[in-house]
Amino acid sequence: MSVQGNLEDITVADLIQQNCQARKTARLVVRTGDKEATLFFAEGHVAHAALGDLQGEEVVYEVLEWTRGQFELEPGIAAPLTTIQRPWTGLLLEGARRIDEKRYPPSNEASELEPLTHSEVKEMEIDGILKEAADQVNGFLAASVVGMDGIALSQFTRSKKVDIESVDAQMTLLIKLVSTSLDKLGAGVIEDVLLTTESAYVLAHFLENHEFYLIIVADHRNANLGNMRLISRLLTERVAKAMPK
Amino acid sequence: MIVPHEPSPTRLVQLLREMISEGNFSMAVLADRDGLLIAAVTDDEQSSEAQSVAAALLQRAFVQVQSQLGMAETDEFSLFDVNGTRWVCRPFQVGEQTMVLAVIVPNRNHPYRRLTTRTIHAIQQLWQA
Repeated sequence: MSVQGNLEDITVADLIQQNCQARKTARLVVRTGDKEATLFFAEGHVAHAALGDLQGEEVVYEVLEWTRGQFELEPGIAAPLTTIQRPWTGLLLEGARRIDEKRYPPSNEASELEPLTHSEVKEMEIDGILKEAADQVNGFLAASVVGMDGIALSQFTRSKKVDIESVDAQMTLLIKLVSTSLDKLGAGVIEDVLLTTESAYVLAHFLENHEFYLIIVADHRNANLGNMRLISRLLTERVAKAMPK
Repeated sequence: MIVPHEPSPTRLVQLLREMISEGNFSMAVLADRDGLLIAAVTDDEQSSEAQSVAAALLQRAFVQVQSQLGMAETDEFSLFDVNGTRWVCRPFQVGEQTMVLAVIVPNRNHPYRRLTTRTIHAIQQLWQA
């Protein structure tokens, strides 16, 4: 039996993630305007995608940009051929990167009117990245870039229920407490830390230098943890590049 | 204070062994709030002592987190390291006692949540039987 719905209710990224994680064999038809794309899932991968004459990964990247339209998922239909080798996580990351590039194209034009210092520009860039997190993370409540001293470089919140400064301080304390144990365990360097409570997910993802980390807080009922992790990883890389020297 | 009936350590070890086998975990430890080890199982006997110590340390850190940060409603605390290992601590109640189930999942993409939840329920039932 097929499942139908609107892209306003569930994103293409979520559909890919759900079907791949569940290792389903299925055909997904996605329509927006006069365009219609077809994706096939098999054994935890997106095996094939087609849109008009276009086939393969590029179709997935285009469909990931569609935020309006309809979809129809038909279980049990096998891919007629295999045109995609990249894992689904890689497809979503690359798709998100392309969306970011389109939204914020790199500019080589230096503004003569720019009165801001290099550091201020960088901090504004980080502010913008946190606002993007609000659009990309389901159930987003707040985000912050925090130093290991517990002081935030940038914060953005959409919910008055979240005291983001308190979260920053608590997560920093938590990470310091646990780091002591981890050193004794011989564990590898921490990449991210997830705290799950009855009402929220709090995900802290370290920047490469481990002097700062990105925190995203999302509502437990509405968040998609896989999506949250993917977006967090992607945005952390961008925050790292935008950090003031 | 209600002190539930304590089940046989053999049965607890059996539950943990079943869980790590089914989930391909490398280690599972059950400890009380004070960090005292109740049961521990690893998939490699040679490293059992080291891993038990490791889990107890993590568990103690977690208890500190709960008491110092007041995160009483914390359901799970987990972290990934760069080697791809996931370290998970899940607190739960048995009567009025707080216990912690800690597991090490070698593959970060391996599901663990349902399995640890099931084991926690089984431990709770065992304790209250």
